[in-house]
Amino acid sequence: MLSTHKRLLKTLVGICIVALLSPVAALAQDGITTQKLREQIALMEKVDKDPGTLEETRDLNRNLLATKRAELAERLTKEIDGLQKYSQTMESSLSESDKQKIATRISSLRQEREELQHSGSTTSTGPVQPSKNSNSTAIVTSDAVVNTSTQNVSNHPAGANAGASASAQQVFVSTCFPDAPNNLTNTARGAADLFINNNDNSGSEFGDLTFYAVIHTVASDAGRQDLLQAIEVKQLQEQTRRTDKQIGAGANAAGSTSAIEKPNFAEILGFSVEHGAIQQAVSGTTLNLSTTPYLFTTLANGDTQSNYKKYGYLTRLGASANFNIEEEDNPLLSARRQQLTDWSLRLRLSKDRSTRSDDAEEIWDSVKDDFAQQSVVITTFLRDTFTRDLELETQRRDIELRLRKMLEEPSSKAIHDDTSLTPNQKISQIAEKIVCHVKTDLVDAIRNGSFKLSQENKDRIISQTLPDFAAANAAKERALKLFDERIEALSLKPIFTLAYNNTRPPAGAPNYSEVKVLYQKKTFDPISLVANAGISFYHKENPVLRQKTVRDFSVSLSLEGTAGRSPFMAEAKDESQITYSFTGRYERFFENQYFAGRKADIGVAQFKFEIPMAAGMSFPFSVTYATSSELIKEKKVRANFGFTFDTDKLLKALALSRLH
Amino acid sequence: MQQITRSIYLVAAGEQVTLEIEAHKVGNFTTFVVDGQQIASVPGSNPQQFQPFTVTVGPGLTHFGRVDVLFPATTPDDAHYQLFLTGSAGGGRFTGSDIKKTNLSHARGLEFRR
Repeated sequence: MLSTHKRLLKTLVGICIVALLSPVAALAQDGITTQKLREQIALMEKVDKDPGTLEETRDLNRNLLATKRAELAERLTKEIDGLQKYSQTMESSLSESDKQKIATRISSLRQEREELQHSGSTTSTGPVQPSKNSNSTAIVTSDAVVNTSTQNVSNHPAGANAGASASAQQVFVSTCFPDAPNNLTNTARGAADLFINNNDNSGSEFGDLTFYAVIHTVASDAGRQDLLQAIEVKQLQEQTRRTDKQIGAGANAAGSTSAIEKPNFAEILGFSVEHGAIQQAVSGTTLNLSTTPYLFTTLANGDTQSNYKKYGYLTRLGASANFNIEEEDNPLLSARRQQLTDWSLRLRLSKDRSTRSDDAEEIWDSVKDDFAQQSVVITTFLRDTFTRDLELETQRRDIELRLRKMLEEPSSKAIHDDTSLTPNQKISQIAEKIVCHVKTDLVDAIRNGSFKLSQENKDRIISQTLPDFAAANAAKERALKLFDERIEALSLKPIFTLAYNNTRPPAGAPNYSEVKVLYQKKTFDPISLVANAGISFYHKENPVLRQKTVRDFSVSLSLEGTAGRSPFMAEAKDESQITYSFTGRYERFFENQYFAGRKADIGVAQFKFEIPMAAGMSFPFSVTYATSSELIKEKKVRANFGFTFDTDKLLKALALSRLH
Repeated sequence: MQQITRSIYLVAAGEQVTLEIEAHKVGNFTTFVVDGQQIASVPGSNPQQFQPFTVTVGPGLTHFGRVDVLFPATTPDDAHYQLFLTGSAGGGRFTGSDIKKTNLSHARGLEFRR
């Protein structure tokens, strides 16, 4: 009896799989099979590529092709969703072979969808001017992103970008709304990013989406593309002008370390490193640990601005220690007294000039009114349009709810959870859904009169909102420029630091301490002036070696700068810079005056530059001239060169290339 | 006040709504605008708090807010802002959207619906 049931179940499962995997079984609502749709697309592609096709025909063909591709992509997505759902529901009843068949089919459908999206993007970037009244309502999963301006873009959400930051500044070609304005598609990408990366489907971008959809439609239909173009042109100009982008994690990003099972101090040390209270750096065979008391306050309170306002003064004090590494696999095990080569304390005497300082917030206060102008225009538009018309507001809320519900659908969740997609692909696919939704519910609805904007509203958009928005974009750009300039000026102010170094030379030589006053000033971009003067003392002088309490006195002056991005970097986003320095140093080494063959006054001049050659690898070169060494009176000219490998940078570059 | 989503809230007539923004690893570079009016922050407030605004719209209508923030180039990539909202008619302190430096958009809309 049981075996009969099993046989029946197996037969049923087999029939279902055959039915599901059959490419011609999926009949569309309009009766055309998916296979037929594929054939139509193939034919249209042929027409598109035919050099004999008339330009007008090609344009028309491309518009139809885009619609067909959108339809096919939607069907493929539905089929993938259906197979995934089926697979999950029937999991316990499926044999390994059945599961394999389904997985292969899903993979093949995804590949087809990818190819479809790729071909969609290449065709869409052609000189075609798509129909302004396309009625395509297809929900398309597309990854059609053409990056035209990522080389020189702002790190800030600048100008008319509607808050979208640099990485959003890509020309995103929507299949179902090919002539969607950049502002709208960028905002859709912003909303998709929130859905994918913040798990946020709260509707926070809906106001901006509504704003861009409405002003675009009203201005286009009124024949006032000039107003829209003025905004878009300004936006593109700003994107290409700005060069201050920062890519990748900051230099002090807290890295995770492996769990360390060590007792007492090492355990505390491991915890502190893990939580960012102590910064760890490994250079060659040296382990450097550094911290500031402020970082320990963040363990309990988090590194919030509130905490910084309370305890930020603790950043004045810094401590660091260097250790010879014994175990390369776990450098922290070397953080022991025996391995300690030197330690130092630093006290910053000058004011806090970081971007978290009170000075930086004062700068912000001086520009924030201009910065807020975009928000002023967008929320004024929303108020004027919807708080005077209850019916329209009700409709707006319905549209917003439908958008949120669309992102709760299994197909959206499938994209969110699909591990085979890159984050950028996920964002593009979700953004496409959002753009299509906006196209149907707002753009088309305005045009067919179901979303009824009064003539008064339309007139106000043309005469007031659009000019105000252009002015607001300019104001925001001005605010950002001024903010950057003033922050830069803040960083150019000199920094004074008092430093204490305790050096523990190898066995035999006595320990000594050094007290220094350091002075650093950025002279003019990109050169910094670094000067310091110091005096050092023996802890326990050796009379035989004619040592006195004061060991030496030294002054040095250095000009350090950058000479632009290395031309050898293959990865476009890798901003590794060529660095150079000129350094002069004078040292009076007091005990040397008592020994023949040694010189008490030592001068050193050095020129050094370092060129990044590839991700994490650079070529340093230096020429040093010294009038003498501490031990032998002999002039020396020495050249050093080689290759250095920075594993941290290498890992970041790999991560960057994965994101790309 | 009731929270519908992290960006949409139900409010009552005459209710006073307060926004707080907690900045993590970044200074308080924030702006808050409601219905075209920039809202000033309360001087010295930690975390940064904005002056409350009063609900004046009729039933079925909405106050439209927008928060726009800045991340200076030198801030670390894990810097972010967290929004909190409170209404004088009760309901508690709601956690609103967060804005990460790595997000594509650094602005968030807020709706206060009656």
